[in-house]
Amino acid sequence: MTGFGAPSSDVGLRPPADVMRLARMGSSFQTRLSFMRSLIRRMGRENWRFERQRFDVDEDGYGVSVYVTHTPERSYSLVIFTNELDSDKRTDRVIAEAWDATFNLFDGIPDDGDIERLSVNTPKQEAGRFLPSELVLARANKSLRLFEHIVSCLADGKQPDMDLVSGVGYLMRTTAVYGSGKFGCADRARIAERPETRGAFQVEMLAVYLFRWFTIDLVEHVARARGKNRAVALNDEIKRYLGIGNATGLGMAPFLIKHPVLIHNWVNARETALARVRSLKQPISGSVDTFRKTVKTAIRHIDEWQVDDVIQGKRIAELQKDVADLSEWASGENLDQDFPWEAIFQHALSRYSLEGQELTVSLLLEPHGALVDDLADDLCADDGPGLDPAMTIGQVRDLIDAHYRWALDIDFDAPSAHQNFWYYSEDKLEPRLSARNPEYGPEMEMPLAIGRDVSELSQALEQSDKTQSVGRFLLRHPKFRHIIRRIQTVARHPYAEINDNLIDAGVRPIDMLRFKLAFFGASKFDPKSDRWTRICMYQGAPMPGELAGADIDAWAFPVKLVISQ
Amino acid sequence: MTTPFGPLSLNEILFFITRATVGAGAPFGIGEDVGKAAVLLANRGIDSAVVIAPALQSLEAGNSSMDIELRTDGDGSVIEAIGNKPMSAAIAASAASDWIQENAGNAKARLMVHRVDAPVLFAAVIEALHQGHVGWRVCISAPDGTETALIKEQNLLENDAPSNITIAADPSAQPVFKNRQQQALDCGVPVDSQAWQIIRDLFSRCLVPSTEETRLTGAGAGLTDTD
Repeated sequence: MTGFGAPSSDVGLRPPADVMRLARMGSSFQTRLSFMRSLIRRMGRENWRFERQRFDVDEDGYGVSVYVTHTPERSYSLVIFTNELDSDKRTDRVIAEAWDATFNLFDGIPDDGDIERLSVNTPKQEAGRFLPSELVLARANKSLRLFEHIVSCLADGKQPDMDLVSGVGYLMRTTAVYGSGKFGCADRARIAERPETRGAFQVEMLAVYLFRWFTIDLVEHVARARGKNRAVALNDEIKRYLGIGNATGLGMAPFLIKHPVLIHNWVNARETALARVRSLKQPISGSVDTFRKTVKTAIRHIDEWQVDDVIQGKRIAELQKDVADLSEWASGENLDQDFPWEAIFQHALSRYSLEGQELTVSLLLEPHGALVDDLADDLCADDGPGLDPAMTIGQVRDLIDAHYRWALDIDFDAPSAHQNFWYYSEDKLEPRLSARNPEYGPEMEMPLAIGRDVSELSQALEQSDKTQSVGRFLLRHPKFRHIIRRIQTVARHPYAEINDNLIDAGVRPIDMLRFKLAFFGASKFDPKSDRWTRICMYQGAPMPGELAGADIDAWAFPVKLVISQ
Repeated sequence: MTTPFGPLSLNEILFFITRATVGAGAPFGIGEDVGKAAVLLANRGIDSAVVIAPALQSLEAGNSSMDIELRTDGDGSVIEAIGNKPMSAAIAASAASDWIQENAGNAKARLMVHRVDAPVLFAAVIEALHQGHVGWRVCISAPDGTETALIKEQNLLENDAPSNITIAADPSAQPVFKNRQQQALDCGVPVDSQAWQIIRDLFSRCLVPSTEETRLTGAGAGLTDTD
């Protein structure tokens, strides 16, 4: 904190009971700590080099391509297969069996034998088998309307309609991006100590970034093949404005429950960053101007955020009012006081919707890279949870009272409180959430009903001797082993737990999806139901050839361009 | 032994064996412990499927017991099954692991675990939960009272039959298994295909059959996306 002014002594972290509620989690925005943002900064800082090593595709865009990035110590290659796809097979679901594009991030530079092997396996996705040389397995489908529109325009010597470009935002959207040992790919431990991949989801984010570059090359290639001499290249600013879409379903929800320590680390980093900013007695030189400009950009960004979902549409309308007020409130003398960022935070807390409050958090961090960016290094995992069998039952009860009051306050005898159950379907292991119909096999539910399990444990503990050890208790009650381990873990990592009932009739899984995707750095959340969303990644981010630029980090809130033909 | 399958990643081994243990009838928390043991075995170059599949089959078939008790016997402690069946290594090892932690620092602590159905899995769970057997000597105890330390990994699978196991504090004790994690990370982990199929079959018991209704509504998305 040296050099940033004296902090206020009484600004602490926001309490988990506020931060880890689904409604607030489902209002999350990307921040400068998000994984895509930190990856782009690293690429620029370390002068990563990019190379299109192979582009063997026909005039329709079908074939094999290899895109390579060279970091200071090693190289990574995206191996991409594109092929024709029948419309009736085009689905974003896990249960899909064919895609427009399938790809791997390869550890190093693949030889012909590697590519031959991948050509057999990668297009099969989950049905293929992979080796530790493959760090990521993924697939994507075209946005048919935008891809064809841009091909037609470029082939005809014109630039595309920016309203359509803005309305979609991407040429292709990924429908799954697998890492961490899936289907034989490399385990996380293989890359966890490398500087460039130590952070959370960095190889997955790198794969998507390289794929974005490929999609732009692809659309230009197909346009050139179609338009021949009439064809023009895509405007560089439009290229930068194009991101990569993603369709995300319930698979992200179990992840958040299975990795409590990792989730704590993510949230703790963001909350620590916020506390650092709120603690500044005087603003760092230039930060107020940057903040005001960023707010104005955010207003345009939110105005362009179009969704069909009624609930999200209303939330965006509220958010528009909030951010307009923020711009007005922060434009005058309100910031001419000690602790101006804390003043903004409290103003937002007292007046804005949850979306408005969380957007304010993102905006507050934006001008303070020098103050908070080091926290992005702390976002990696530490599995850590271990059982302490020597703890007494009385101590466990105290932990429950301290960290799970929210669960004890739920009446799990009420049918609505346990109406749903989470499970893996035998249909390609697709995660699903359904009503607890006995015919569906609710006894096979995933262990995501944390609140209910804590409630049941609490009742069992009431019947037990407070001085008895956990180890002795578990001899008679082994079914509580996982939940006691979790409670003990959460006590050490307070942001690890979602403070809501995930099997309630009113649960909105999409809140969990948005929370995780915001940490990735996604924007333009576009809910398709309460358990399914589309997003845009890397929209506005610099292209590989632009990473040496002075301001490669200024893409937090991308806005539509005005392009003259 | 049949043909090898894979190679698998350590994450796949963890995912499938944790849930296969649940599919065999154990609580999820026990499955988590067995999953960690499976990764430890794989890291040590030992086929975790070969070790664990028979133990889970025995549990699933009701040939091994999950009902156990801990009692004091003279100057030591005893974990044994309630009834006549051998004890499932999965539950016995978790309980023994708890006992070890509760007795940390007690130089005279000694535990007898009666009739464990799969001693290698037992040893692996203990080591996985304690980052090695450092400080604790784990031995197979023969009927005549002789004790054979579980430290020669080449003999482990040959001796993997129901046995009594003793655990005693021993400051000189070292990890049973040699660490070969880098090999697993660089090359993956081949497993015996027949044993792995048993794991997959038990895992599949945790899956919910797909119906037309759950296919349409369970994921909250449609079936075609042509926009």
